[in-house]
Amino acid sequence: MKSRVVDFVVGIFIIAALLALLFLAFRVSNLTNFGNGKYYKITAEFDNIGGLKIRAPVSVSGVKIGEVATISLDSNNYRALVSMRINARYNNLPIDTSANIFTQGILGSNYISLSPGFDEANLKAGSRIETTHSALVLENLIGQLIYSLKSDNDGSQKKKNEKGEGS
Amino acid sequence: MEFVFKIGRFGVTSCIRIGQSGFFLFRVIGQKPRWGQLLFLWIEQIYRVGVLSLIIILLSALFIGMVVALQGYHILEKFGATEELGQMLALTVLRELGPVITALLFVGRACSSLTAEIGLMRATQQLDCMEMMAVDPLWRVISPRFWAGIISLPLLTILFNVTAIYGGVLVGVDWLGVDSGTFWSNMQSAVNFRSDVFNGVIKSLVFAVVVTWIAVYQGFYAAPNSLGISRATTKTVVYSSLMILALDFALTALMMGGW
Amino acid sequence: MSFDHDAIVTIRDLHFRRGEKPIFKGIHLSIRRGFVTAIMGPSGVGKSTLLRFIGGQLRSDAGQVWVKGVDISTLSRKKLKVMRRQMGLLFQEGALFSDLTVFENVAFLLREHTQLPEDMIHDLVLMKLEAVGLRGAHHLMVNELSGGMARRVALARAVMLDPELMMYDEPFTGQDPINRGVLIKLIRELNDAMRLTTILVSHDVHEVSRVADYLYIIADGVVIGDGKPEEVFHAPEPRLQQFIQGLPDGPVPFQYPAKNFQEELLR
Repeated sequence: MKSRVVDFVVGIFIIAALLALLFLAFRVSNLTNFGNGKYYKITAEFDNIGGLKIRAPVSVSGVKIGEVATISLDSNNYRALVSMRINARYNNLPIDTSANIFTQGILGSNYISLSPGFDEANLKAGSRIETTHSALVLENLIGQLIYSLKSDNDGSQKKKNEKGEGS
Repeated sequence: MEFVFKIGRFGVTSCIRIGQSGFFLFRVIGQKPRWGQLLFLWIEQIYRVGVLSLIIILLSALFIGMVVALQGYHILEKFGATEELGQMLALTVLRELGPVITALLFVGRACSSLTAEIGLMRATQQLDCMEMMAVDPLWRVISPRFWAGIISLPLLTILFNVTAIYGGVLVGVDWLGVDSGTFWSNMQSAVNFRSDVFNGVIKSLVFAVVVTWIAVYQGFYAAPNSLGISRATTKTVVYSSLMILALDFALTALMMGGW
Repeated sequence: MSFDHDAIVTIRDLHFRRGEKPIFKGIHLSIRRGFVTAIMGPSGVGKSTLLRFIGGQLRSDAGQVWVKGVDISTLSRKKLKVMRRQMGLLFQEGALFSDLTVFENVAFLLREHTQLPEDMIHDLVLMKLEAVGLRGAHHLMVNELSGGMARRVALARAVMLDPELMMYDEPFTGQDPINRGVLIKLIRELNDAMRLTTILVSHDVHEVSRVADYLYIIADGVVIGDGKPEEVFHAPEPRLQQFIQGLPDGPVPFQYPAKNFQEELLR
């Protein structure tokens, strides 16, 4: 009957679309890489977070283990307060782990890299990371460079003068 | 002076029509289903509206994916960033091209035919006849077509997305030589299911509601002659296309801002 | 309000205007049960519109339309639906549903309003198609039918639920003499066999005289004559006579109102 064929074709259409959706979910996007697992939250304070954004990756040795959850300003000491969601699988980070803000590639966006410490006790939900290194701010870098060039110049001038006087 | 009156009259009639169409939408959505028969009507309409649009959607998707990959490659080459091609292709397609172009093609193919069909039923008195037979044409004719449009367009968008990405893969990986592993891994790390894939589908759902609504409304209230039908069909295509583009901007702003 | 108890439809003092133009200026008529009543008049006078009033699709500006003893403008949506199931209307163009086959078209009312099993529906549909002489065409699509065949199918569809009142909107217009003969036969037979009341809207004087029991003639928004066909056809009223004899000029002028011809030419 005609309607049987129509039913069948429509069924195929819907199945195909759902399969396509699954394809998009798992092969095109990063759904499996960071699926719906359990998380725990830890915090860290930085002097300067640079361009760090919410949902930026948090990784250990380059492997993503979590995301930046919230960013706020601590109104007491005016440092940036960052809270991170870590996948519950990675629950053996020592409490003396340090957090650094690096840049992906040269022009890329900021992310947090955790370097594990050596303590016996581990970070739990609500723990705070004590050792942090802020993001590199370009203007400071350039300032440092100019200063060090200048002092090099002065140093070699002094040496020249000394040599000149000495001879 | 006459001109000012005309503008005023136009404004008033537009408001009346928008109100009428809103009320119409309300009545269509409120139709109580009689499940057995309704399912059959729905399936038939999904076939007409969705399945028969597949060819144009998929072919367009293939070509668009290929072109985006091709153009993108040549631009990224200048920055030495050709490994990002997968990411660029996927994000462009999933966020914008997929929902918008599928919707525009859908308007041209399916919506215009819906308006013409319903308008012709109006002109040949089929809708009046149904009313006289105590069968509500909103239930029997309009509602199945309306829901078919809402179901079909998101499905078509998903299929468009996949086909376009596949087209891009053909060009980027097989032809232009971007490394397959890099291509896919960069894409996967950059594409977020919730904000890219899912939002794209949400967009297409919004488009589906608006566009199908306009199509069935214009058909139902078309003047019952050949001029009326052609006017109604034109209005469907024009209004729907404009609404798609306007809504796309609004939704993108909304999604980029808060999600 | 008193009305003729033998009448299935009574219209009293109906007034209606479409935009600026007055269509009805006080129509009085009553349709007797069991008979074929024809409503005739020149084109554009609003005969088809009258059927819409009876079916409850239009509301009058003044006056009442009583159907089966009930003022139809007072009916709720639900009750109107019930009332409409007892009426059948044959549209001028047939108005068959173009996406269904002949069989599906005729079966439409049964499927929508009853829960009869498939084989019963099958038999009933074929019976009705047999009555109109198109049983062999039941599998055809609507666009494969000729105009006359389409009209007969529409007729079969309209009488599916055995209505009490059957209305025909210009059934003979554009048909060849054979089809007209077929339609006349069907209208008469259905009316008598199913004990219907039939309202026939037409301007085909010859056909109507063969099939109608009673006539109303409408012109200028009022009824200008009514009675049995023989009486009406010999009434001396000039508008009636012009209509019946088909005279090109008379109370309904040949010339559309225009300025003086000489003036226009010499301008």
